[in-house]
Amino acid sequence: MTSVRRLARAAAVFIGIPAASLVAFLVQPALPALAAVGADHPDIGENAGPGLTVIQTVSLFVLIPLGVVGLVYLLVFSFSARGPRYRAGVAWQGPPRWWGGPSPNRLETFGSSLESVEPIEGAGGARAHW
Amino acid sequence: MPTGEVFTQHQLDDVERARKAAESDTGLSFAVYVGNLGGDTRDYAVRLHAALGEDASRSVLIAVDPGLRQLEIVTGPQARRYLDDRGAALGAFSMTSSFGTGDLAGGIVAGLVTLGEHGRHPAVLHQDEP
Repeated sequence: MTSVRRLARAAAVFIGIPAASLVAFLVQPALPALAAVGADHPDIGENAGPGLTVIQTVSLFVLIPLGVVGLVYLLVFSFSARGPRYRAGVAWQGPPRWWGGPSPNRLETFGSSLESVEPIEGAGGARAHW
Repeated sequence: MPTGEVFTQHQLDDVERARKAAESDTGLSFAVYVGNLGGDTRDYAVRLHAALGEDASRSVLIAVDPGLRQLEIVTGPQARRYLDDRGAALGAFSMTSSFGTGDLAGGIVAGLVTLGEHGRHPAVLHQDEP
């Protein structure tokens, strides 16, 4: 009983839907002819009115989208491009930047050459390249 | 690249705040250096660390050369007891992952946080204040 019902449902899906589509496809070209029957009483909105001028078309389909794109662009870059930005691989020029480093007086005593400074025995740490 | 073009005042403050936090968490001294590290970057960084003065033994130096894309972390013999080379390597990893995206200040802050967490230890009076 249930198997018969299931079979019928499958047949309805696999045959009914394509059949309905086929009918719709075949009838489609005849629709304007059917509509012409009531041509004496045109539907509301059937008259498209005068067309757009070139200026109106350009402003509607070119200028407004460009304006939206430009607005998004400005919103994105006005926030991200603010302030200086570090670029990797560009040689460091100018004085080094210290946080919690030796006092300026002490830095002057060994000047630019660190040759006179002896490394501390037993120092450790890590190194990395990126 | 001179310093003024790389860091905003906000970023300078962020690094200083992270450095102070790492110092208060671990009881060690932290110093950050951004600039040229010469030809042998490790040798230069170790000498820079020694140049920190009598405090160098319990100091951690983070030395970054953005031009060479090289990072050196140097820990003094006393600092190394709490912040071993493995912890320093983890700090280096968290830094270079930010450096790779061009975030120099953010990477330094992340590294200071990681190093501060790994160097944390209970205060023991007879060890810390001989």
